Formats: sequence, C-alpha cells, structure tokens
Amino acid sequence: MTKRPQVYLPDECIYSCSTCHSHVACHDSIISKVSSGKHGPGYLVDEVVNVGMGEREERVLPSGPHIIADIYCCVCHATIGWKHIIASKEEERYKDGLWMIEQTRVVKERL
Amino acid sequence: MQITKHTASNSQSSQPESRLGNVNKDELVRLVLQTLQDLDYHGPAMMLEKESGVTLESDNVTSFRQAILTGDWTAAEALLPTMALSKTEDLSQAIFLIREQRFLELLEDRKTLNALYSLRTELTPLGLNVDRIHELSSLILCSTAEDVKAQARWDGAGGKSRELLLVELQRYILPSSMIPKERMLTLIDQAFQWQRRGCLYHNVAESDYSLFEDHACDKDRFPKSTIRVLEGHADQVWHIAFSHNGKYLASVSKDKTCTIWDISTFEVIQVLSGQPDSSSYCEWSPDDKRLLICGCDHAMRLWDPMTGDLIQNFLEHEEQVTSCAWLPDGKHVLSAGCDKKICLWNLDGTLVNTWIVERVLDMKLSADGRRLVIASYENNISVYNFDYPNLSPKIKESGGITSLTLTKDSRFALVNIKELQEIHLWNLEDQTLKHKYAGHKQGEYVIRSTFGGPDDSFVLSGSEDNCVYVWSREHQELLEVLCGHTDTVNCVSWYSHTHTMFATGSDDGTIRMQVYISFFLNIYIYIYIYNSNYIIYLSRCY
Repeated sequence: MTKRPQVYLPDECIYSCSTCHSHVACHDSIISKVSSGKHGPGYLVDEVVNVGMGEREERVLPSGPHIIADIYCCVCHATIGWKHIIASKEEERYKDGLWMIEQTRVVKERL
Repeated sequence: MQITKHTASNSQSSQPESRLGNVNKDELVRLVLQTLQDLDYHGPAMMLEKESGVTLESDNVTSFRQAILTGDWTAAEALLPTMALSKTEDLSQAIFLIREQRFLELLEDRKTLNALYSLRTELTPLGLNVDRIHELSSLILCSTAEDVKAQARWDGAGGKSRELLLVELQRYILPSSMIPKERMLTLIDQAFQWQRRGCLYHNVAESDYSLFEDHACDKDRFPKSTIRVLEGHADQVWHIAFSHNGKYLASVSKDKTCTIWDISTFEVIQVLSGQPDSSSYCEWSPDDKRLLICGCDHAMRLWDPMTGDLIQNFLEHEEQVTSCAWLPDGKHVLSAGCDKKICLWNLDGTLVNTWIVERVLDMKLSADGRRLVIASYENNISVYNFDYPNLSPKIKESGGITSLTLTKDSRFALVNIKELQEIHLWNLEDQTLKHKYAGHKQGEYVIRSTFGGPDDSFVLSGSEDNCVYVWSREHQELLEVLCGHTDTVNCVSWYSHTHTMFATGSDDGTIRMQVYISFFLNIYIYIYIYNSNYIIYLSRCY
C-alpha cells in the first residue's frame, strides 16, 4: 500500500481500531488507565502504530488545560484519541509525549 | 604433445617462433585442420597438412576413432593403451565404457547369451561401477530391443550412442592427442558469452553475433521516451500488469476501480468497479480470460476483464489480501494475506487448503508451479518447494521488504528494502546475496521493482522522487533515470512482446508507456505534437 504500509504488531495481546481492526498499540505499552477520555475511560500508552496526527489545539480536560493533538487511524480515518503535547499543570507534565487512546474506540485482541 | 612431423625439408615446424601472440602455432594449425574437415573441405585440409607439416591427429587416434564409430571393439581396446591417457587408472574406466557399449549392442541384436557371457567375463572382472553392473544385468530380462533402449536410456547402435561414447572416452584421453569435437566453435562460443556479459544494455533476444566485431547493444535503443500518458484513474495507481498475450494492460488503483486498457490503441476497454475498498494487486490468468484482484477489504475477487462482470468472491482472509498467484493449470489460485494464511482455491470459490505462514507482503509462484516464494512482514524471504516440502530455506533480510519479483527461470528473487533504500538480488538456490542496486529513493511507501529485457538483463524500479530507475542486472550499474511523473512512481511493468516497451504507474493517477523512438522520429513527433495534440498513431511508427 503506498501511503505507508500498514504496521502489524508482533505481540500477542494488542489493541486494534474498532472500525477496521488495524493494530494500534500493544498491551505492554500501556502506562496507566485514565478516566478523562472524551467519551469515557482511556489508556495512556507510550507507543502507537498506524495512526496519523491532527492539528495542535488547546483543550481543557478534567485534569486541566493541555495542548493536545487528535490522532486518527491511518486506514479508516476514525478518531482514536489524542496525543499529549504540553500540559499546563506541573503534576500533569509526565503525560507529555504520551498518547491517550479511548477504550470505546479500540478493541482488545489476543493473537 | 603428440604431433606427427613430416621429414620433408620444407616443413615449417622447424621455425624458431612457435607462438602467435598467446597462441601456440601448431595448436592453431591443428584447430584449423579440424574446422576445415568439419566443414568438409578435405582438399584444403590435406594441403594444409602437407605444407605446415602438422597433422590433425596421429594414426593411432584416427584408427581408434574409426574403430569406435564402426563398432570394432577389439581393435578399439587394443589401441587404448597406445593413446596418451590423462591418468593411468583411467584405462580401466575407458575399457569399462567400451565393453558396456558392446554389451548393450549385443542385447539390441538379441544375442542374449553372448551378452551374458560378456557381462560375466569382461565387465565384472574389472571390479568397477558395481551398481551399473547390477543395472546392466537387469536389462538381460528385457524382452525386446525397444525395451532395452527405453530402460537403459540408450538409443542404439544406429543412433548417437557411438558418438556419445567417443565424447565420454574423450574425458580420459589427453585433449592434445585427440582434439575434442568442434573445439573451435566451443572457443568462439566462449568469446560470445564474454561479449554478452560485457554488454550493458543487452536488449535483444537472439543476438546475431558477428565474428568481426564485438557485440554491444546500442545504448539509445533502450525505451526512454514516453509515447503515451494513460489518464483515467481518479487516485493513485497501485499496480499495473500486462496480460500474457500482450494485448491488454490492467491497472488497479486506490480509487477502488481497476481499468483495462487496450495496448494497440491505448483506449480504455473496461472499468471494473463496485469494490468496497481499494485493491493493491492484480494478476491475469494464464489464458488471459480472467483477472484476479486482491483487495484491502480482506477479499479476493475474480473478474472477467472483457465484460466487466464479477465472477467470484473469495472470502476467507481476515486481513488485507496482499498477493495472489495462478497455478499453471489455470484452475486453481493461491491467495496470501497479512493474516498469516495462504489459501488454495478452486475457481468456483471452494477452499481446498490453507497453510499458516508469516504475514505475507508479497508472494510469487515459479513458472513451473513447483516453488513458492514469500516475502513476509517479518523481513524473511521463504522458499517453499512442493517437491521437497521439508526443505524450506529462509533468507533473513535486514530491512522491511516492499516487493518481491522472480526471474523467468525462478532462480533469483528481487526485493525492495525500505529502510536501506536498496534493491537486493538473491540467489534462491544457495541463499546468497548476488547484487545490490541503489540510487533510488524509498523510505515510507510500497515501491515495486521488476526485471526487464529478454533475459531479465535490466532491473527497473519506481522511486519516491518521481523517477524510474534502471540498472544493468549483472553490472549493478545505474543506466537510466527517467523522469516525467509528478508523484511517487509505485510500480513498473515490462512488456515483452513485439516491441520493447514498459509501463509505469504512479501516485499522480497516471500510467506512462515508455518506448524506444529513434532520433529522427523524435524530431518528427515534436513537430507533430506542436501542430496537433494527438500522438496516438505514432505508437506504430517504430
């Protein structure tokens, strides 16, 4: 496929896009479960594949104002979550550079 | 060296200089004598012998040759010890061969008792080739001469077997005493091979080599000019394939359609649409009546390219189907996908068999259908041989593979490596890396490469810098960089029929046909295009 061949994760327990089942993140890369997703709970992960990033914007999350960018699945273009870029509050800075994927948008799969 | 010299006083063999450059004069004269005799010029040959004082071969050798060809085995055996042999132990091997031929001829004449006698008293005491003796003894049970010939794979005294015997015996005799048959032609063939290897742009199927000048294909005859730009796709063109009969071109695109073009007019014949998702690969059937298209929506579809009807859906894969292949019988197809499965199907849609392998990125079947080569997502090239299912050699590549192509004889595989921006040519038989081709740009996308030229002498590849790169396969040298597309060139396909041509498909949605146009015709085209906008008819001008 031109436009970046689809990546497949080698792990056994992975999360994939609920619409098109392309791999997104593996279970081992989850840092923590958070409850401040847009549509409910989500996972904080340090590595995602097959995603593209949208525009940077400032959004106020339950945990405070953040600069984030929405991420979407490369194959089906469904929004999956966002990437934390810079947090305003000092205690939230640990999230910088990590991704948040919404639990409703991904499906856990065992390979 | 055994040379019979005349004692005449005007013989040339007493000359001080016996070499002409690197070549020994006497050897050269003997070769010329052999060639003259092969061409049936016996008169000149005899004159040359008389004047130069060099004879082709000694009388012993001539009588030996006569004896073998007429079947006078006793004389042949008697003459053997007088000939110069390469090794002394070869004498018994040579005797074995002569006696074996005698045995087979006796069997052919149905003189079975004599044959048995010969086996017992002549062949067995030599103590060699015990297995062969067992085979020969089983031939005694054959009832007819034809049976003997079939079982022994021997074509009889009247056939070529005596000449073949002579060739076999040649191995044991010093070449300087009995010159190998047609030696001059062998040497000339070697020279032609050397010239062929040095020809960078070798582009002709049957080379008419001349003895007077070195062979070199004209560099300008390589297809470099774009004769036509085929537009019609709304989005990126991902794969193009010429049909086997050379009449049509199929192109699959991200716009979820596949277009069939007629090569003689470059017009669209058919557009196969209605697929839910884009397709990444297509393959014509061996009789060109059907087209298989692999889709990103986990299905493979069989279409009739002429009518545009969807004939069959093959739904079994759980991930995108990346590649397919027709078996040579035209009745079965293989499909492979990223769900680690390869499926074998009947044409009516029934699944015959499934194999679990690695995630397949590209798959190719050899021309005879015995070997399946797979390039996997885990950077391995695996070879599955249907004759030897237990031997499946795996080649580990050092980067992500984006495309796999096989040579016509299926001995070599060409893979594009993403991270290294190189193309590797692997020898599949001993799993060694033969050549590397670099210069093109490839980092993120799937770029395909292919072979071109009648002997697969060119390697062509697309590139992310909008150009097509052409290398010489043997010399690894970058021959051409052809630009013209306005976006990444995804795939290249070589047309191997009446004229030299190839097609390239790109992300800009167009397909370009590249041909060779001579210099003068180029100017004519330029003027013609300047006056009008049509360049269709010129496709016939070369």
